[in-house]
Amino acid sequence: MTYSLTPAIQDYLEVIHDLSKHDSKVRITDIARKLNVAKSSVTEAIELLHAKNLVQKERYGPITLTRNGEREAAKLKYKHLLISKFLRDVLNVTADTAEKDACLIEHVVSVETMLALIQLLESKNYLDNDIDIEEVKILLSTNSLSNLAPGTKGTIKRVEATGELRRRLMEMGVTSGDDIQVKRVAPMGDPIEITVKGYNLTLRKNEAAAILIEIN
Amino acid sequence: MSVTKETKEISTDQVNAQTIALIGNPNAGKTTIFNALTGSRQHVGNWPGVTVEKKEGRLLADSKVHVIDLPGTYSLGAYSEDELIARNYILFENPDVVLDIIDSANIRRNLYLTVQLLEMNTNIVLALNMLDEAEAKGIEIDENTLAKILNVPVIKTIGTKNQGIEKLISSSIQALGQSREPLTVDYGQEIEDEILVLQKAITEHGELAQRYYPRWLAVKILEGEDVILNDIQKYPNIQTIFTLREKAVQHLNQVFAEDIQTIIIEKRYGLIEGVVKQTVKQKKDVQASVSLSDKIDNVVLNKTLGIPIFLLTMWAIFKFTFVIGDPLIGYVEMLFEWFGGIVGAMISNELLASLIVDGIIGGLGSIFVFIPPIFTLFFAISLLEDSGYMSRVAYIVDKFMRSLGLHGKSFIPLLIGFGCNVPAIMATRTLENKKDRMVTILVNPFMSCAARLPVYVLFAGALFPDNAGTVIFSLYILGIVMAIIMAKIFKKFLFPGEAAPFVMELPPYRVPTLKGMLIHMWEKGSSFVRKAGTIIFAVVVLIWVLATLPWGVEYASQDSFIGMFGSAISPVFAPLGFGSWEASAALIFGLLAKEVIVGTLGVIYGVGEEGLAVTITQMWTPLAAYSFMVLTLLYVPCVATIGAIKRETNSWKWTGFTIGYTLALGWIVAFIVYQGGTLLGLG
Repeated sequence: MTYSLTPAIQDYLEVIHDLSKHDSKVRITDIARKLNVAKSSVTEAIELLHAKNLVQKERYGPITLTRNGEREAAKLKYKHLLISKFLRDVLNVTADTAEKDACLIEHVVSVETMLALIQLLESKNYLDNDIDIEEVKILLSTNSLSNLAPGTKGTIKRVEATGELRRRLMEMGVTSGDDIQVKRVAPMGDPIEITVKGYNLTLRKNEAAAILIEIN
Repeated sequence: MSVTKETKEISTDQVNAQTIALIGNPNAGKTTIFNALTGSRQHVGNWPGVTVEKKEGRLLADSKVHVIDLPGTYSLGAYSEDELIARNYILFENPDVVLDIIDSANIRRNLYLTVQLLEMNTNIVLALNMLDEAEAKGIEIDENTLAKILNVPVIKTIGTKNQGIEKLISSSIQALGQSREPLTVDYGQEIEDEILVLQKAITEHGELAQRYYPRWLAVKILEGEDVILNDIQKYPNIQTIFTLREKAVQHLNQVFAEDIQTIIIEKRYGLIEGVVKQTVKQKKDVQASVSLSDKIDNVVLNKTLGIPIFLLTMWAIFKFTFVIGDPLIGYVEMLFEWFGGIVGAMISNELLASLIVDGIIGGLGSIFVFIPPIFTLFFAISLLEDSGYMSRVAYIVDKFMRSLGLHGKSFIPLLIGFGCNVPAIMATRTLENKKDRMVTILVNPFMSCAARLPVYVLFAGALFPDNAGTVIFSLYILGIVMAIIMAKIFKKFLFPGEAAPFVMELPPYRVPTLKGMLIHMWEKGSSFVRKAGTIIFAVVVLIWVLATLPWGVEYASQDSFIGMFGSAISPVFAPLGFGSWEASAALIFGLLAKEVIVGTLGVIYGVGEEGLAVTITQMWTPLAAYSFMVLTLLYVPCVATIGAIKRETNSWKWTGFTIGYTLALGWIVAFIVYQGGTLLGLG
């Protein structure tokens, strides 16, 4: 994992995610209003998210989440949902407190704890049917290849790329279930080099973003 | 290595000849094996209608057997030209044996192509090549079990050391007459049922079964490959097959969570995993150790050292080419001048002498001067390619090139352009994506080649004596800026679409063989002479005719056709600051090669090259001279480059387009420079 996002920064992700559902054009002003902070703080946070390849922005243009940004925001959303459900339904905490605590816990909870929590909720039939829990498990337990630091080893969980890129990746041996290792990042920061099926392959970060890896 | 005239011979007795086709992944050592099989008896051409190289030759051991080198490819789909060519050749030309070259050190991925070949019902002989590399990685392959499972002959080889080649040849010859029942991929009950239904319908259709191997076609129809679906649409009574396809796809989509193509690819790899488990042993201790290649990459691709090492390498290649190439160019020029002198003295008829000396010998000379830089550059390029550093270059510069709308692999051709645009345009062959390749070719002439330098030196030296260096440097920068702007425009309007993926193998470093590099160099160099040479020669002779006619005028004077033409078009250049017939005529001659502009002006002004600087100071203003240099940089590339563009794009349309747009752009920029400069009071 290369992320070390502070809770505050994670909040920005969530807000952009929520705002973009109502209006595809999210602007600094909207975020500042929603979080009740100064515009300068927002700009700073966006720069940070941009550096981590989580948002896309054009000068004076709207802000959109990248594929990775969407994934991270979705992870937070599901963590929040499941934790508050656990607090309310299993521990019988009041709705208000559950909501507040979930807001805090979601930022620091580990994948292992989350998966155990899901198992508990599943076994007690607390889960609503409208959540595809298998998808949520994959979402929480994987990272996109473009986020992994050199040296990280893992297993390919899913190739989300489509069209020509998908076929090309799969035919070159990037198929689910295979072991993969991140070797290097090019001197300019992109593309990256990985080992798969015993040989070295390069691909750009935006191409790697469509490959989900479970870290070993 | 000079066997190039075999084309005719090869095509005439093709009817009853037997053919071995070589196929394999890139970097699997296919070329080395091809060279070992055919020796020097090979012919390089193009596959019909495309610019993909086609190499053919004859088996050294039995000259009745043809050997065809298919493009190196990872799979036999239909996404790239290479894949389609290889596939169509196997499907429709029915080679007697397909020799599949496998990189043993990388067997799991290499077997993917093999599985696809098995599905096409081809008569395969498998070469487990690069055995030494596999051993170094601690990989042991049981070839007998592999042969038994796949039911094809399997031979272990080390192409670079000529090991196993004889056995490979004898096995291939032995396989020529035989047919085997190779392994079929089992796609699992659900898919197999659908394949069977489709296969039956295809066989019953008759016509389809004649064109395609039914089981293969059934799988392709299920995969939903556009090329195939479009092709079979042309057949009568095809509707039943499409109805069956729809039903099958609907059914399979209900059964499987993933799309059918994904499942088919995963099944193929599943089969490979099974085969590998039974035949390949990996020594654990060796696997863990860091390979030499990795150690080199730790330095060469290092975050801080990577870029300096890369820049140093590029500089060294460039230096090498011109340190070796330039004196050779001088010798070639001297040789042709000397030869022209002797021949000229022997012929008394002045017109005939001029035709032979200025026209034919001069024309041949203008082709042959390109040979030294082309040969040396391609020697350097094959060194980069064969060693494995070429892929690293693309990897290092990709991010930068992409910001310009180009691909990492566009870098080398553009760099070479500063030396000579001809080998530069030929070097675009490493770009697999056609759009990227076209853009790289179209903007290449703006990389200011070495031949344009004498023009800059003359004008800048004469009219900007205090800052000639800065002036010349500004022209190089202008060329680069124009290339970037035009690349962006072409990418946006002429070749739009997603950027080609950068999913590229980084092969291990290998020590290139001298023989391999020499063959590579010879192929590129000689193919340039043959193909581009004809165009260059024709234009050179044409210009001679225009400079000589009508009868009796002085060569290239104002009364010659060139002179008349120069006078006629000179008003076009008047707004650029140089409306004289001399300038126009020099520009026409500049089409031969840009440095000819200098010599032509020398002849026309009647002062020779020595007195030229003085004459120019008197007749040109600095602003007009700068405008002239800008036009020289940008306008129509020289005939050799045009020849290379025609050859590499395989299209008169794009060749004509390049001539047209460079001329227009050159005129516009020179116009802005001159008129803008005049307005600012610089004139």
